Amino acid sequence: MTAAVFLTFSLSLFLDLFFRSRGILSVFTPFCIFYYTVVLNWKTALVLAIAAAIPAAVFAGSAWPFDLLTYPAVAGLSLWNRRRTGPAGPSLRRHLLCGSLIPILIFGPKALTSSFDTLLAFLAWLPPLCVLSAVLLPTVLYLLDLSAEKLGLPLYGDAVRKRENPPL
Amino acid sequence: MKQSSFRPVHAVLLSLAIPAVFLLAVLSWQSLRLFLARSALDYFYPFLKASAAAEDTAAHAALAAGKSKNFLASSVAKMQEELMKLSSQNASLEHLKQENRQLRALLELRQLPGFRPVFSEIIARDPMNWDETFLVDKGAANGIRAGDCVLAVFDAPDGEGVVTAVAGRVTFVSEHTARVSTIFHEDCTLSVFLAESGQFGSLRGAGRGEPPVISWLPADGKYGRGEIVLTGGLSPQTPAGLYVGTVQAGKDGNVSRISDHLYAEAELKAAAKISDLHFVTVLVREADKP
Repeated sequence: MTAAVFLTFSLSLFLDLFFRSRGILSVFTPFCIFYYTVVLNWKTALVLAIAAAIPAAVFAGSAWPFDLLTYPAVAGLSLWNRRRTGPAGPSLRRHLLCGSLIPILIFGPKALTSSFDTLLAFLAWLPPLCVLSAVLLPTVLYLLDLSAEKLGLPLYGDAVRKRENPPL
Repeated sequence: MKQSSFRPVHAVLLSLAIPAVFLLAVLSWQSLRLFLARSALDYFYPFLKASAAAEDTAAHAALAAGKSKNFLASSVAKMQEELMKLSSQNASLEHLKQENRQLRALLELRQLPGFRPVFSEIIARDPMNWDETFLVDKGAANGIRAGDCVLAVFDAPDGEGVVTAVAGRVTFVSEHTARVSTIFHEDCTLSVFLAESGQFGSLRGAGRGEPPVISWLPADGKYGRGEIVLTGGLSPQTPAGLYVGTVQAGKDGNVSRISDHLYAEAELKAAAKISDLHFVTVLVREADKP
């Protein structure tokens, strides 16, 4: 399991780094945090979120470590989604909503503290970004579950249904 | 009956501990940043290089694929298709041409006594700080130190030819990478010399998309719009006489303004256009060579 988590986070960080260096706002690492918050537990996810936020903040080179606050907030969003999930199983609509919220959560604070031009550019790109992220989140969760199934690891689909041990 | 695992004391401690940890992390960030950056950047260096290499490979493959199809056109329809292909190729070749021109200009940098140019490629940058900071693929192993001056080649303001100008300064280095704060970033300060008025000042990035400000200029000096701004060379890591930009009028239309009744300030029209930058040269002092 540890190796799978390590590989997934390394790959997602690499993808984020690749796309962000080409001016594309990507949120693959937050997707992984969203996934592992449910599959593992919130404490481990919090540690993973902070561990992933450090390289993200370092690569961004921003003066303030927004990622140290926003990445754990994604874990919070995942917990909220899990709490709202009934025995019927995960709701696609809520996952779409969470997916569209993640870019706002990750880049919103940075945009608010950056230049007016950057804020305008961010606002212009926000609608397509939210739509893309909304579609990508369930897709990434599905792909991660698919690989977890092949590796015999715990599945998001099963974990999100578990109501016996609420996360908080 | 199942007993609840909820413990009020734990919940209170937890709700206090989490904000405390975050607060501590935020407050100690500035000091932790250096240490974390060194460790993280060296650890992720192969990933960073792989990212740049992947882009190069894809670009070469795309160009090669386009070339092999150049001979397929035999009919008008195909010729039209070919024309479109050539147009797109031309666009990419224009890009390569511009890149080539920048590289040649960087290689032909005049020899600065006591300084060694280290040619570097930008390997990572953040969309939210695009013009303010970036990461290059050379670091302490190549002799780069924090504070070193970074030059790049930009299109000349008149649109003809290119000009080599200061892009920023190195803010910190890891073994294989260096973080550059451009002259637009608040972390970047530079001593400058105004060529026509003959005055020295201190240039500082204003951040948030605002033009850099030259401060600590003598209050009684006369400063003209378009006056050339060069590096002052007061820092041993920055050679004197490198082109930075020109003085421009502020939002109120005045070239300079008096600050605190003590000194004058003026806005810089930077020669550096960071958004399209791919390669830079870091000037390393020969004495610092490892």
